[in-house]
Amino acid sequence: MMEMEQNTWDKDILLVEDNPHDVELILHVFEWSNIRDHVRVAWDGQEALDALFSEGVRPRVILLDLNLPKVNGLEILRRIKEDETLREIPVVVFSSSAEERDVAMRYGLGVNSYIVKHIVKPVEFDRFAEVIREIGCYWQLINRRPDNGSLKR
Amino acid sequence: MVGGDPGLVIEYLAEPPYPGIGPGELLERNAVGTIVPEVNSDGDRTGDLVHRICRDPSTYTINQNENLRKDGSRPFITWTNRAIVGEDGTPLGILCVGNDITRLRDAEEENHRLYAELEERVRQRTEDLRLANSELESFTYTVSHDLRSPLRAIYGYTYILLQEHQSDLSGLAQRYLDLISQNARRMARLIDDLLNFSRTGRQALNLHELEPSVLVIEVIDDLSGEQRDRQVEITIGDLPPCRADPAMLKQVYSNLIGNALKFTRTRETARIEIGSLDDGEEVVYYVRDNGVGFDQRYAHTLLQVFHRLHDTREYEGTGVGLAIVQRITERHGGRVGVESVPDRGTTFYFKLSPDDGNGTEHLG
Repeated sequence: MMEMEQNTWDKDILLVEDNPHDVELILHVFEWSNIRDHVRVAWDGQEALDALFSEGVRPRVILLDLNLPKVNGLEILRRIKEDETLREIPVVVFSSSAEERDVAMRYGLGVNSYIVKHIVKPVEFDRFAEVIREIGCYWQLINRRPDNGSLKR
Repeated sequence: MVGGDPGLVIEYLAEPPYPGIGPGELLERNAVGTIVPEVNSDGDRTGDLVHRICRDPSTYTINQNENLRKDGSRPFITWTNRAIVGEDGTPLGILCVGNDITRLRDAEEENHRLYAELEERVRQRTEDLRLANSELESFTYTVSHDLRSPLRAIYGYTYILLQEHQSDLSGLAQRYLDLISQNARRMARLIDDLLNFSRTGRQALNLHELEPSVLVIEVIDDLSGEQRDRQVEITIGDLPPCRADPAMLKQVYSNLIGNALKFTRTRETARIEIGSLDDGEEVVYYVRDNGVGFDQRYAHTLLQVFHRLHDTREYEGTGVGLAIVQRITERHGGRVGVESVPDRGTTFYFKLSPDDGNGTEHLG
């Protein structure tokens, strides 16, 4: 299916995360769904902005850590939601701070789901992994859509 | 001195008011411009005051005003004024007796200055403390957040090892990985509690008039899991209404009742009594249990953060719960105290208002 695509980037997942261990763990979980190769990593806020606004990358899903060097996640979230061509892309926010999440909520930026990154309960990593897997499934689902169209209505 | 508009003419001087003035020097001269300045240091015309005194001495039996020395310095004098009238009632003059209060006044001013300086210093120190405190709070907060990141990695990699590589691992290796997970979980809980403790200090108090019994019932309900498969008798006595932050007071009860449930675990029937002592002036609330108790000698260490009196193997916990109780009661202006007898039980007392000297013997 992939080889049929002109611009495979349209089907991919943009992971914006600066912590290498979090990146490795997330990629590992994506591997369980065999979609590791479809993930592009932006290691800081500036790299994410470059990908989205300079390269014109249009991923299917954006996974965004809020606590980032250079340009923070909330700023990226704001820029994404201000841009007509990016607005509809689902953004999954990673945050270990309830306060940050509140701010993101207040932005009312149409964040599609949240993951709190910390591990407090013993099941936390399982839950985290589960969400990552769901994102993978979602990605596969929209990737299989016959029209391959954009998410815009 | 003899008065009469338009001036106060000096007719007789019992004693020259200041050094350097001969007894006869001021006679027949107007007081204003000689011993009283025409305009005082505040810019007021002193002559006006003198005129008013002359017109009606009875309303100015005592007055204080600035005076003038020959050398130009300006002492402050308290004057006692008495009208002198002739037999036929005609005013003859005013008897003025003066008392130099310049030094007293200076001392008073110095006092005011020192007091203001002290106030300013207290204000400055309070501000310094507030800053140091808020820095400490934000430090705790940051540390708590940053500590979570490596924990997430430890827990995540261990999870993957146990999930995907179990067949490659010996029993001992698996056990050690389990222990790593357990410790990571414990550390996560410590961080959480520390964060909670730090938040208790930063959050604004949201005071309401409330019924503690409502919160107590909620807490007991929340902790019902702790009571499963156990004989627990909880009695709720009279709990007078109080003014408190509902979420915080609930946290206090949650920690104290949770504690009571924990330390009565070995009892056939756990008895927990929630009540209050009311002497009509102030209310002291308490939570009493028939649990394992502890040596009263260690009571003072109990409320410190991360301080525990019991072995982690016997009773889980991070040692933050009671520190939170203490912080919350202190933020309400109150206090917490504890009485315990080993093997008999423990009673925690707390109150939400400042001491009035009565009925606080339980609070130590």
